[in-house]
Amino acid sequence: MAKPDNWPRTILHVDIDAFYTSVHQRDDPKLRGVPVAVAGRSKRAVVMGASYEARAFGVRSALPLHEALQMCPQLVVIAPDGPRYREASRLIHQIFRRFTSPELVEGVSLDEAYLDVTARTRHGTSNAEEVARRIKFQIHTEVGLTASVGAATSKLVAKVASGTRKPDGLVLVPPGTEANFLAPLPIGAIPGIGPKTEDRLHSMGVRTVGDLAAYETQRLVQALGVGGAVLQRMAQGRDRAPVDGSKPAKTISAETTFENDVSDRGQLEHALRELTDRVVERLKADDVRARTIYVKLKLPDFRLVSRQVSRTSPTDDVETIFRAARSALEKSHVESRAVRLIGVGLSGLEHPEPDLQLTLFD
Amino acid sequence: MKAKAIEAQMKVTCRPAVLGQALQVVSRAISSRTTLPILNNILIETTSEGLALTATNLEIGIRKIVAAEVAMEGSTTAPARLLTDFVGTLPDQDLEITLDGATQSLNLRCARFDTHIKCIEAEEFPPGPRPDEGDRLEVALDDLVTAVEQTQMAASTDEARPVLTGVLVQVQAGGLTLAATDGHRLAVSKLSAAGAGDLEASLIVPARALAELSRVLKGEPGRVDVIISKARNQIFFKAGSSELTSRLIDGKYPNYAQVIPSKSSTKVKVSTAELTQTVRAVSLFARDSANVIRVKAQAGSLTLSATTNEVGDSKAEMAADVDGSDIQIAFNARYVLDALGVIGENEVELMFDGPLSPGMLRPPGKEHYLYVIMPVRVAMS
Repeated sequence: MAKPDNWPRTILHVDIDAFYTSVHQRDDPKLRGVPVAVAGRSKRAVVMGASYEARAFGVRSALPLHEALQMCPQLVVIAPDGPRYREASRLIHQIFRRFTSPELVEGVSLDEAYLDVTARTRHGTSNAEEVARRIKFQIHTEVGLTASVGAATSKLVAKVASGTRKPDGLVLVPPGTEANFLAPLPIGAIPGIGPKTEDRLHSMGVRTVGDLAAYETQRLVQALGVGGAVLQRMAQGRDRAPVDGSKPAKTISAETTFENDVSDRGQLEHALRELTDRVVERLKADDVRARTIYVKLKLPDFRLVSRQVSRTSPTDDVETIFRAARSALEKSHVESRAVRLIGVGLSGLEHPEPDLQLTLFD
Repeated sequence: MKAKAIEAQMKVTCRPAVLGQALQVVSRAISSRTTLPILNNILIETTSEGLALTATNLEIGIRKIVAAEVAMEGSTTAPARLLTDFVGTLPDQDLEITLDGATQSLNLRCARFDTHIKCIEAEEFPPGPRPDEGDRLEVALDDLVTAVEQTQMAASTDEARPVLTGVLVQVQAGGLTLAATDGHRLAVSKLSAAGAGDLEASLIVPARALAELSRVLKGEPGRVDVIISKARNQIFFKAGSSELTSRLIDGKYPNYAQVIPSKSSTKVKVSTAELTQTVRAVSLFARDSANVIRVKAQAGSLTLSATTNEVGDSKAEMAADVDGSDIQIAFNARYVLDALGVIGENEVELMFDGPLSPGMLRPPGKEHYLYVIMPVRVAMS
């Protein structure tokens, strides 16, 4: 019998390994052991998911498909199958609900979720490790997929932990060890630190999470703005955000930071087009439609500007979404102002209405 | 009957083929799971016409009399499954059946076989209601079988609403109207009846019972006696030496007449065989949830199509007489096929009144049959 542990909170981050491609490899033995990517069929298609075999060739999510095919000519490209992913995700969430109440399961996307299992581990019947193992086992035997799980006292540390030993990993970070666990990791491991911030921190001599945690806060804020202090708190493993399963529907977003700040509208629209393709492919893979399209711009001084356009009926049409994104860009971008980062996001996500057999009586 | 059974040393001779066939039909009334073990047995009784076989699950009862030479009268009950299976294997030579009344051992001698089956006394068998009194009417066997076939498949199999698992049988104005619905489609078939006089009655007959009717009455002469018990809780169908009895379902049947469309904005006339073949082919691509085929009618043609994401799609256009406005509507393909399979005419008329209103199928120019289907509201895409 597992010994209970006494963590202030027990939070699991469960991430299905190479979800999209694993679903196809599970269902079609011919795809096992070969490099597989899920991507749409358009000219501008980007990779939405790559199997571990494909990743060995450098194929990654968000990579344009034609580049992926150059890196790995034998890549097997599969069209996304939204209903199938959704069904797998539904089964996985059923498993989650055996371990905690629905409002304590926060789905981030089809293949990723946070679970607060504190109640399960605190009252003498189980512990974090056993719950994590059972979830992994049940996902494997019932859904046929492997998951990597991080267990910690916060969402942040759990997420970082699940990412450190993929695939099929299980990483526990007991209370009090968070800072030690995070310290040796490269700063890129902290969610929210993208390539550009990473460069900036590198130039300040900050290479590991430990460096960031110990850095003088004032200088960090001078260099990165208030966000710098937020990043530092994260680097110290301080995250009190609750697992919230009642959160409104997630958003799908993509963003890109420019090498050099861009002020030309045409260039911004070009970037917007690529980002829109990416989010729409993801939208279709998840078999949902969006009501709201937003564009966010980060200015050279790190200020964020964001504008959104809402539609009365949800859509997954790429042209419709691009037109909306362009008008959001027009609302948010003053001609010739320099932009450091551009992002596009979709929210108000809904599943398309299923066919409905009408009835004769009532 | 009691005294007779105890003393009897029943002795009859018959042909295994005839007996075997009757045993198979009668066995249809036996439930696979029953809490009363005696109901796994078939009641065997000698009568003046031959050997009577009766089985029941207390809801449905089936009785058939097979030609037999009765040398000694008697009765018993034999395990249905064993007797049916065994008789089914016998060569087509005289089968001599003898009961030892004291031991209830049934001896079957046929060709090289000498077999004993342990039986249970006939008195143990629950006495079924007999069709001797009640309101009687008479219908043509073929008409009845057709009307049942045209309606019973539309009944529900969902026990949550028991009345819908039955077929409504209405007796009025010298005729019978059969109606069945599962809430998604409705089938109504009419036939004439003799001797109904001014009798009016509304009965809900389990569809399961009616499904056995054609099998039970097969091979009998052309008329069927329909007898409704005085207490209005049983119905009997009797033709020649075959009989089906059924308990009636208690409850209030929905007012189906109100959902029969009274107008239509589009009328289509098309070959039944061609439509059947087309729906069957296209619906292979309608594997998704509601088994949806899309129907498009425009001047001179009817187009059917279906799509399933992972499978593919199919479209077929056929020549049709189309009268009225163009329409696009979607249905569960199975509901359409169910009707086409029983309509029994070379041509079928389809009537629509908008994509969200019930559609209707009927034989052109005839009033005896109609079939209403609710459409599927398809997701926009």
